[in-house]
Amino acid sequence: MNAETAPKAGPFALAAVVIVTLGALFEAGVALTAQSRVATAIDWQGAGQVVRAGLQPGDLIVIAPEWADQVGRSYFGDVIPVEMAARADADHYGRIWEVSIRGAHADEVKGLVAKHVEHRGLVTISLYEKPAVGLSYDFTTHFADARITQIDAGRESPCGGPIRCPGGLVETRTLEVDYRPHRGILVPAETRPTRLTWPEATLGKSLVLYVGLHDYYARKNADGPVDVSVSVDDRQVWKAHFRQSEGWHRYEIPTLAGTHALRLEVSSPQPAWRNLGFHLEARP
Amino acid sequence: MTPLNRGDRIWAALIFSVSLFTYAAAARTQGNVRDEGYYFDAAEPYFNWYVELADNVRHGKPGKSFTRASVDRWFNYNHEHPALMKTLFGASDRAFGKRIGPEPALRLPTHILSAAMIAVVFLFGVGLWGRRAGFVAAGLTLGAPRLFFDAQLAAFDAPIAAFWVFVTYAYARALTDRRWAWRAGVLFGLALATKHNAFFIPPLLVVHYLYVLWVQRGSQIRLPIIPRVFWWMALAGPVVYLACWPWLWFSTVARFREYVGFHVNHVYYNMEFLGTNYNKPPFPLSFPYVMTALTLPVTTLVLSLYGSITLFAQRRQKTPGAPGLLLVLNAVFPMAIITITGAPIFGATKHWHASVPFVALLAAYGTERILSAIPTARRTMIGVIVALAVVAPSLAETWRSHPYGLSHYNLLAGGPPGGADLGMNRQFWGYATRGLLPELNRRVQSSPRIYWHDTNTSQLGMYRRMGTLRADIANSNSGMEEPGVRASNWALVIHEKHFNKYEYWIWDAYGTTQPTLVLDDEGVPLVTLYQRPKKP
Repeated sequence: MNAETAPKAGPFALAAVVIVTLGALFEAGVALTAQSRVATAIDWQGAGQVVRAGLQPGDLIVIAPEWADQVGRSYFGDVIPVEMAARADADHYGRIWEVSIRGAHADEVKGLVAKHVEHRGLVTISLYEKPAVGLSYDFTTHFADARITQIDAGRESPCGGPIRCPGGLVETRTLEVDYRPHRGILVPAETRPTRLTWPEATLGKSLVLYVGLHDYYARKNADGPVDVSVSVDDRQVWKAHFRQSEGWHRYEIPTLAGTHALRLEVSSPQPAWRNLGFHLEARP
Repeated sequence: MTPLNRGDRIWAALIFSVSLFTYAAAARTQGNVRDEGYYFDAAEPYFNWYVELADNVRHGKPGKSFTRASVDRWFNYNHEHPALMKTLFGASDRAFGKRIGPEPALRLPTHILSAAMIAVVFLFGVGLWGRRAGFVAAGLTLGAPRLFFDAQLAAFDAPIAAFWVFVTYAYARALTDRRWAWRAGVLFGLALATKHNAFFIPPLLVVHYLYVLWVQRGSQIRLPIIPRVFWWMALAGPVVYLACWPWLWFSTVARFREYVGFHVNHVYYNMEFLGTNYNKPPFPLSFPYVMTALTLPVTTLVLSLYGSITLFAQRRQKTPGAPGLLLVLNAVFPMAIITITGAPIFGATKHWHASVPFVALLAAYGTERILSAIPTARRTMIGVIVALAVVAPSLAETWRSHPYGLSHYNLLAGGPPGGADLGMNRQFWGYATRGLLPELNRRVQSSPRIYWHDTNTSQLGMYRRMGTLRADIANSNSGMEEPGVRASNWALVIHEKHFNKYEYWIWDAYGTTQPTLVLDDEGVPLVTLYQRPKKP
């Protein structure tokens, strides 16, 4: 197995020497110059200035690729409140500022054409416009209006405190569902149904419900199913039996406009580690 | 393999020295990892047993050290791993800690073993194809970014790769030189005493030897069915193993069973791979191969592939000892173990570092084959140029990756940003915190309460001892999980996919999404620091 005594390489071997040498030098060169292809602090600061100069109330700011999010927010996170960063979707926003590097695009601007594009060094700032969807009632922000109870043998009894049920804290928070942030309401499931009732909710033509299981550790540790149902004026309008552990699932439920009592119930036959998170809103 | 001459040994010594200096110098800026924290803590008690033994011998009562009480007292902590490396860490700390600092002293045994591995790879290459091949193989092994990362640490992954190479080299030599048989046996025992990966070495060598027997059939060479080297490995190996690990001296079967059980039923940690976070079976079978393809320098990969193909094409030559097969088996088998056993993948590439030196040797052979096209008269000069060019990407990639080797991805992936685009694990073990310490020392005022996330107290303790972190900051831990975040006025989040929730906890607790500082690797966030905004 001596390279000297082994059969000589073919006619292309000389070319191989050149190709390998040049290829190796190229690879080394790319490695040594990598930092020059990274957006600088000045680039990001410039991008922040562009966004701030044009920002209007109700605008959405997104950063692409998603992994650059922290870097972007360190320069202009003061204009990205938690509610924006952890939005359920971009439907309510009429204008979207996309701040991107490496030619990446955010999911929120797919299919849209940029109205305005600027570059600051290696950072690109693009402004998109689209029709905004209205909002009749946001059940997450109206969490304080909800009555929280549990159903045991047909009897409805309030939780020990306003929000502390035996299974854990029912609360609004930034949920981690599918490893992404989602502002919503957390309901740790129990075998007894936990019921959230908004007695006077302003409904429109539809309800948009997002549901998922909060916390990767909980998703890892169990896979029990979760039952969720939505009722309007004591009439069940939607229900689901979740088996899947991952995903932030969207459902649209048609409703009649007007003031109604809305009830959402959560339970699980195997409630260990089943932290259901949801965001619900009524749309005109 | 050809015998070595004095010049080869001098070169090997020089390569060892350069490698040792490189590891030791680089480690000065290398953040310590979670597991090192446990081994730092284990090192002192493990070596204390030997200190106490020396005392007992002086006082004429050596038997006191060999009681169950004494052994359990010093070796019970962290007994899920063998004792050899932790004992060496402790010995080194005792010998050099005051002069060079505790962290460099604790890490020194790994540096020595890793540097010795580079030197042995050189000798392997020299023995097979000559000095130039040895240099290329040594350079490519030294310049493997992920192996380089682990070779700096007081942990077991680089040392077991080193022992794997030592045992294989000794075995290959032992096939033609009886003197190497006992050395292989002792080295195998030391490998077992380093990490459980060593249990997979014998099956690989048996497969190789069966092939050697098959190739030699019908020839005049009579090979024993069981060669001397295997007898030594079977007999000396367990003796050395047990000698190095006193914890196994009592309730041996039960404790060994517990040890095996720990690793067979190892808890599943998280590992992001191609956008999916894996923390329970089934794990992707492609993981070791894709990770290798995306982390080793592309030049190394291409040349090793070419070297393997040409070796396969020459299989009819029946080289005595079948070294080509030995290299290929060793390059592939450490990865294949992950596939075959369905083992958890949380360690990224560290579980098959033993592959790297053999991949490098195959690449060295590929380089030699390519150079064989050059006319002999010009080959020396051109050979030097090509060898330097071939090694250059490895050294450049390793330089680029330091000190964030676990975030490194190669040209094929597009570097660390490309790795992030592909949804590859960004890091683990909480070591990148080291990069934030200067800023924390500068920014954090009095009475800090810091949420340290994945950085454990042993890591912080070492930073404090090394003077890289102010004592008041190191002692400022606000607690664990969400209560720790809520109690803090500074908070870190170390970026791995499954750690995203910690950042959301910080948002909720602090009422802001704006980080104070982001530590990044080529623009890819590694650690994000938040300061709780002052109340208006």
